[in-house]
Amino acid sequence: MGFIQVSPFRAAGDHADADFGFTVSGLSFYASSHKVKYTLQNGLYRLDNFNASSDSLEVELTFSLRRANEIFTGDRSVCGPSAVMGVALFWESKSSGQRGVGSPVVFTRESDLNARRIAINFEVGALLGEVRISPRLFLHKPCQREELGFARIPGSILGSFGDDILLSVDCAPSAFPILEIRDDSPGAPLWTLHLDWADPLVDLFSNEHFEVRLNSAHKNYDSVRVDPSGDGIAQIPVTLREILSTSIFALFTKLKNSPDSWGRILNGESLPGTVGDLAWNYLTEGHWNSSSIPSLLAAIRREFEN
Amino acid sequence: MDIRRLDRRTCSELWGDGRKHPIPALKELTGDEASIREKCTEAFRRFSGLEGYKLDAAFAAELYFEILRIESGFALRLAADDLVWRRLSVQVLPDLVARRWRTGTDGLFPRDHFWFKPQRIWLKCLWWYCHLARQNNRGSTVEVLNYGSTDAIQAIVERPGSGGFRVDLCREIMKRLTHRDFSIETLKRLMKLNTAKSCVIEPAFFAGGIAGYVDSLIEGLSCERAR
Repeated sequence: MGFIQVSPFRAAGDHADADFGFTVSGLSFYASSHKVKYTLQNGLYRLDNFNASSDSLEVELTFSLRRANEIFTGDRSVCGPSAVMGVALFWESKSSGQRGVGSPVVFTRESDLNARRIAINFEVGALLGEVRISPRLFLHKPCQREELGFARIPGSILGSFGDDILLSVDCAPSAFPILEIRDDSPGAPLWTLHLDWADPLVDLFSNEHFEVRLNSAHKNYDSVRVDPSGDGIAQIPVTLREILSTSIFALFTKLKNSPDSWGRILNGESLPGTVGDLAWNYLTEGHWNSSSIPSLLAAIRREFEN
Repeated sequence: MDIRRLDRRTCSELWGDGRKHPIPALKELTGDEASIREKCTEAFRRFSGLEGYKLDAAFAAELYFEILRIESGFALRLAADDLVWRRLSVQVLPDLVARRWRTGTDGLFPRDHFWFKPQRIWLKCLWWYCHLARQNNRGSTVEVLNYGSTDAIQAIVERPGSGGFRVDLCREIMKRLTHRDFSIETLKRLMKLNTAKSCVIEPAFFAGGIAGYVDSLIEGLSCERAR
């Protein structure tokens, strides 16, 4: 894990391998009431049992700086010996339109920086899409004695440690695009389905084009609630399983109503991650028989039983 | 809050050549969308005498504090979703947006303010403008907005930076609009200086926090002027 210089002031730029012994011993995600499980895929942390619309999120990182003294003295130092430094999680999310910082750990030359925790807290519904998080070193208070080349302005960012943490709060890999809504108007159903794509070979299997909407105001809503501590399909209530299998049947029905694109889907011409790609994967890997309504329905229901 | 989403491609098809704005299909609106439309129409009736920025400021406060309230379920993640704003702008409230953004000399409605440029969609701009100007309560926020202008909207909302808005910083900067000697021109210059400075300094960790950081930006501008 290297130390990347981002400041015009003296940092560790001359020593690309200098990381001051920075190591991460823990990275955890907590929702309002449970620890969030994640899948790490191609450097992207995808949160599994997390609902960005109804859960708050705390990101907690435990780190150590084994050679923190080198920050203050020696060839690789980036501040004077009496300075006070800080490490905090900096975050930005273009898709959410916001950026910010978490509470810092501040330290001096004498501080013990073994297994220290830094965190960021996000309120319910604050995030959309992806968040980039980076542990950074900054100047909290300059050295009493002015030394040439060292930053003196509190808040100066003097470097970031290692690779950024890229987090996806939507689109867990195995998750369905599900949205919780609240509709207490008379006769409002427990669930509805949004199917809206222009080209299934190009449009992603995501909330924009496919979305199961569960009505939290419905009297039977409890029968579709997923136990937040659980993961995987075994914890999905039977009513929700029925809803999901019906929604997939509806997806296939809509796809088959467009013979031209359906033919191309069967040829495997869809782009990865698209509605067509999802259907093609089910058909080929799950060996689904889509030739008739009963056979397709049986294949889907078998899938959701497992 | 049940607001549908409108993707760019469908939006483009609905928009056509831009000589006429789309007409909302009222029967196809969700309950929440119909309620939003009703409240916005009523607000426009009250603001019928207002034009330009005066309409912007009055409607921004109404939209943010009454119609699309965070506390009532219009979460930030919805406010950040361009597909939601496209839906509202083109399929729920196009006739109201058209009262503010009329056809130009070319006979076309300005598509940028309806749907084409995410940072210029009028409804989105107004909501975020008010969010970024928010003070302790509606009264003090409206006071700040009354000192603003269309240039202020542009300076604050249309340049979120590569990683998004620093909400607390924007609120502190907007607060300064009420101070004597802090003009819109100062605001624009300050935002530019901030873009450069915040690459190497984190405002929240500056001496005196965000308020101290904004003071230092203002000082920086004075020094620039003195040179």
